[in-house]
Amino acid sequence: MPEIDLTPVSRVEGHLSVRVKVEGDRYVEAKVSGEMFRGFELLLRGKKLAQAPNLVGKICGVCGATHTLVSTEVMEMLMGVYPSWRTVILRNAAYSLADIMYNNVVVTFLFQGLDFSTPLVTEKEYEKARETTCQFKDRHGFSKVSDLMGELYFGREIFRLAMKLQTELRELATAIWLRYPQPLSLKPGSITLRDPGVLEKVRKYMREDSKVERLLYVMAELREFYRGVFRDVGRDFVTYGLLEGEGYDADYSRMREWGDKRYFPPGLVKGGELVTGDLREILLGVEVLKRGGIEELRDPLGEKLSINHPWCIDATVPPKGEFIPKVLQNGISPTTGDIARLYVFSLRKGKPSALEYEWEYRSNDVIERSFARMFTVAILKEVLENIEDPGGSLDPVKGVKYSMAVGAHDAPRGANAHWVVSKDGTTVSRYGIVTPTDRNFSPGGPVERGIVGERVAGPGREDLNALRVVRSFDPCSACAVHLFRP
Amino acid sequence: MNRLDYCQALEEILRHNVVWIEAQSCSGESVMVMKSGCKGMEDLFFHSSPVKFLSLLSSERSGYELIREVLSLNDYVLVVEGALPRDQELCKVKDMTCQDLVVRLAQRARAVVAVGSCAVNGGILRESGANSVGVKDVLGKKVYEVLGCPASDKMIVAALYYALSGGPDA
Repeated sequence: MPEIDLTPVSRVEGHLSVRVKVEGDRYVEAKVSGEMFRGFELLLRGKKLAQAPNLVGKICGVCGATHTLVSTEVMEMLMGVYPSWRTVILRNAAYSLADIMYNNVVVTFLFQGLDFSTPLVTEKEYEKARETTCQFKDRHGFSKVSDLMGELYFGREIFRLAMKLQTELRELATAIWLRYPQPLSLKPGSITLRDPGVLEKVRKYMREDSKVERLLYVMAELREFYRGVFRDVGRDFVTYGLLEGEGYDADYSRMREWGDKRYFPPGLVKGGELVTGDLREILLGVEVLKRGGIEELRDPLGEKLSINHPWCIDATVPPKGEFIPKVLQNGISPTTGDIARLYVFSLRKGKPSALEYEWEYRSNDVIERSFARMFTVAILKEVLENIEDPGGSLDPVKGVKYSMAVGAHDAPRGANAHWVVSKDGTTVSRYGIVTPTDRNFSPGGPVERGIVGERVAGPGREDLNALRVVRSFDPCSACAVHLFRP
Repeated sequence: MNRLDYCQALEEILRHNVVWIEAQSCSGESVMVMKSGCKGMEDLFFHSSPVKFLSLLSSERSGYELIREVLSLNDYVLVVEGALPRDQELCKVKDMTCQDLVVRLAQRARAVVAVGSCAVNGGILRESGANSVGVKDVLGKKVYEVLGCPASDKMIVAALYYALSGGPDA
C-alpha cells in the first residue's frame, strides 16, 4: 500500500505534515512532523530578562497567554518576586477563561467537531446515528445522534453556539489580560488591574451562562456513541498541573509544596500508576534527545542533570524535517493534555465532577481525549461561578533569587515549560522551551502511536480516522517548532 | 464618502475569494478575525461563501487537494500571515516552500495583503535564527500592509476592503 500524505492538515494550528501507510483496514505506519521553524530560543539569547515574557508571548496566537504566564513564573523564580494571593486569583480567572476555556471550545467544536458532523462521518456511522436515541436530550435538545451530527457542521447550530461562546470567553479574559493574545497586564510578582469589579462580572457571566452545559452534554452524547470505537494508547500521562493555589511563591526549593496546591495537581503516571506528584521531580526527568548538550549542570538544589536536560542545551537551527524534537519523560513518551490532567486529578483528589456529570476514566482514545477537553471547560465554569476577589495588595513579595529557573504550568494542550539560565542576573544566557505539542507529536510519541493500529474509517476514507487522532491531540505547531540542536 | 461599519465591510469582502496563507505565523491574526458578532459571519466565513482558506480556518478536508484547488483559482485577494524565512526550507507546505506558494499565488491575485508585523517586515523573526523578512521583500508588486502584533481585526478588514475596491485610484 502506498503512503498516504495528508499534508497540509487543516483545522489545526500551523503547518503540520502527516503521512500514513495502510494495510487492510488498519494504519500500519505514521509519521508526523512540523514544516516550519522560527527560532525563539535564538531570539531570546542575550535579551534582558524583563523582555522575555513579552517576546515569548509571540510564540502562539491561539493559546495567547500560556507562554507569557510560564515565562512570568520563570522570572519570579529568577528575581525572587512573588505574587500576592489576590494577584494569583486574578491570573487564575483570566487563564481559565483564555487560554483554557476559550481554546478548548475552539478546538472541540470549530476544529474537531467537523470530523463528527454529518457531511464528514462515514455512511455506516451515520446509519447507526440515525438509529441511536440520545441519552441527554433534556440537556442539549437533540433526539437522535444524527440530529446532533447535522448541527456540528460549519455554520450550523452547535458550531455557532461554540463560535459565540469562545468569543465571549476571550472578551472576558481580555478584561483582565488587557490584551489577548499576548497579555499586557502580567508582570513578575504582580498584575495590572484596570477594572476592580472584573471578577464579579466573570462570576455573573458564568452563573447566567447555559452554553457550556449544552456543549458539555453534546460531547457526552458523542462519548457514548463512539465508546470503544477508537484505539487506546494507554495510561502513561504527564501534567505540570494548572492554576496556582494559595502559598505559591516561585521558590525552587519549595516547588513540591506549591505544585501540590495547584487546582489540577501535577503528576507523572506510568501504566496507570502515579510515579510522582512532585513537580520538581517531573521536571528533572525531561530530556530532549538528539539535540545534544553543551554544559554539565546541577539543578539549584545540587542534583546532577542529564546532558539532554533542557537546562543544559544551547539553541541552534535544527536539521530540516526535525523541527519537532524527540522529548522523553523518565524514558517514556506520556500523553499530555486535558485527559492527563483529569486522570491525575482523579488519582490525587478524587473523581472530578461538573454540571452534574461525574468523570470516570475509560480509555486514552480519540473520543475520550476530545471529551476531556470539553469536560475541563465545565469544571472551570464551576470554579469561576464561585470566584471571589480576596482583596488585599497586588504588590509583589520579595523572596529568594536564583541564577537558573524553570516555569512549568499546563497550557490547554498540556505540559508547557521554559528553562532559563542567567549568568549575570540581568540577561538571558540560555532559554529552552518544551511545549505540549513537542511531547505529543514527538517522533514515536503518543500521536504516531495513536494512529498506528487505528482502524481506517472505510474505503476512500483513509484520511478520516488518522486526522481524528491528530486533532484529538490538538497540535500547535507554532508552539512546537523552535527547539535546539548542538 | 460612504461609511461602512465592520460587519458590512466584512460581508462585502466575503463575497470575494480570499486566500489566506500562513507562513511563519503564530495564527494570531487568524484568531483575531475568528469572532462572532457580525450577522451571517459564521456562514460566510467558513463555508458557504466562495472563500478559500488554508491552514487554521480551513475547509473540511486536508491534503494536497486543498493547495491544488487554491492554486487553480483566478479571482481572489491573497492574505499572508507570518514571516518568510531567508532559508526557505524553514517554512514549507508539503513540497513547496512558503515563499514559492506566496509568489505563485501573488501572480494571479487581485491584491496582496500582508497582515501582522511578521508578514509586513519579518517582525521579531528578523532577529531569530530564521532571519525572516516580510512579503514585500520577496514580491515585486504592491502589498497592502497591516502592522501590529497581532494586527487588529478591524484594521485587517479595512485593508481587505480597501484592497478589493482597488485602492485610492479606483
